[in-house]
Amino acid sequence: MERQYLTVSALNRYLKFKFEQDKNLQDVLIKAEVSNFKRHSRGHLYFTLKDDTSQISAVMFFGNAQKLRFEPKEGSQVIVEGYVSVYEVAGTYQVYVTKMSEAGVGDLYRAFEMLKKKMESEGLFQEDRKRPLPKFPQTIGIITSPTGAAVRDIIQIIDRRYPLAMLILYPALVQGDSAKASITEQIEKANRQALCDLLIIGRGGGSIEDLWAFNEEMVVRAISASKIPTISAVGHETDFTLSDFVSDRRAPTPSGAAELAVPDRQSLLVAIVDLTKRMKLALSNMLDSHSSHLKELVKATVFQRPLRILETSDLRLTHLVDRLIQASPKKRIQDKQDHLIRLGQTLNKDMNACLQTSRYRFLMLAEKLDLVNPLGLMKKGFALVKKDQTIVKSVNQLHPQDLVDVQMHDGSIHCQVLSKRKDES
Amino acid sequence: MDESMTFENALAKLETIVKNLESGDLSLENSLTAYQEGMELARFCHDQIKNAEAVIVKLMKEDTLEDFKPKEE
Repeated sequence: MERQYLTVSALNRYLKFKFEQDKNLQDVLIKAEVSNFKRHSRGHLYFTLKDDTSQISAVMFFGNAQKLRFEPKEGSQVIVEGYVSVYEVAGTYQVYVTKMSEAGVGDLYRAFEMLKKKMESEGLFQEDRKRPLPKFPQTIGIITSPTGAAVRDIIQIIDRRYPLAMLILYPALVQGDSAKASITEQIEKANRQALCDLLIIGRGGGSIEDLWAFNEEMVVRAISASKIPTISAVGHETDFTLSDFVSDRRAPTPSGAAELAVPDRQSLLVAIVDLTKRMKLALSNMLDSHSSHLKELVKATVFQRPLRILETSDLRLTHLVDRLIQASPKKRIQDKQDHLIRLGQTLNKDMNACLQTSRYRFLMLAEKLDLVNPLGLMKKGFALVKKDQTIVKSVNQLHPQDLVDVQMHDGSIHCQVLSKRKDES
Repeated sequence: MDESMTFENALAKLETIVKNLESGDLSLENSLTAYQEGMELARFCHDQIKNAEAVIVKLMKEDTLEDFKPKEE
């Protein structure tokens, strides 16, 4: 039986199928030196990977090649990631490179890991060292390049979200050998001046070498020592630097840092409206509760039957009056009065006795008086001689021819003295 | 309203007033006073945000502040 033949293309297709069946070949990581490096006009890279004893062809298509963060050249030590497959047209197998980095970067990575471990052991990355950011920062310091996209993005976003804040740009070199000293100096200056209540420290995206300043020990220590809370904003979302670990917050990008730094005015407006509503509601609840309390009060007995109060008061009054009567001085007055009456009676009795005695004495005296009464004498025949209404007591007062009145007990006579004779004594 | 009052202080004060009002511990008279003050604070905060103009950006050149405008791309 005649054997069936294969076409070359069928064979190559089969080989390609076999390569792609093999999982090991689908994901390879190779360390090698670059040679025969060619850049195609459409952007694809063609080169050979080799070591001391062997070599293999490699291709890196434009889509992957444009993400390269270094310029590969003849003799570069590289680490490539990719898969191995067959190029059917030429019947060759080659490495299809998806990622490529300089092997020297491995040293950087080791340095990064060592410094990270050291600082970790010092506790610089611990969560309890992280301070809260101010909710409403008034002055925000930005430590970055004054010319990059990063500063523009930050300004734009803060201007849109919270223009109440003021921004101070501390210009720093963020790339190259001087970057670490420049960034450190500006962090320290911002702390010395103490104008800001928040610092954003960072730069836009770039290769790992470009971002390297933010892994330098002096920068990391300056951030760690900052009295002002810090946000790190280095490169892209996927880039992690030691500055990110040590700062109070890590932002994925400079724009992200601006969003972390300030509140959004739209949501603040909403919050203010909400607070106003709550305030109105609270007040109206309070008024409602007072008014229903008032209604309850009006329902109370005192308002419904106000006489109740009077009744109670009246009862109390009666009781008080009773006690007042008990305590009244009337009884004592009565006692005193009785005593007085008794005293008066005694006095009367004494007075009568006294009067009796006095009357008796009076009668006795009147009788005696009667004995010397001139009228009594006159009844016995004595008379009074008056001259010019004056009683004549001596013959010396009279002369013959004088007219005199002689008063007797039952009348008087008018007489003329005829003569007088004075008795010798 | 105090001229030197910051947005932050005003908002914090407003939040306190709202909490106090909601607690119901204030007398009716104090509630009315608090409400009035709260409305003034809310207006102040609102105006601060509404009337805020473009953010001020300064460049720290040596030790002095200069006006700064980022270059357009």
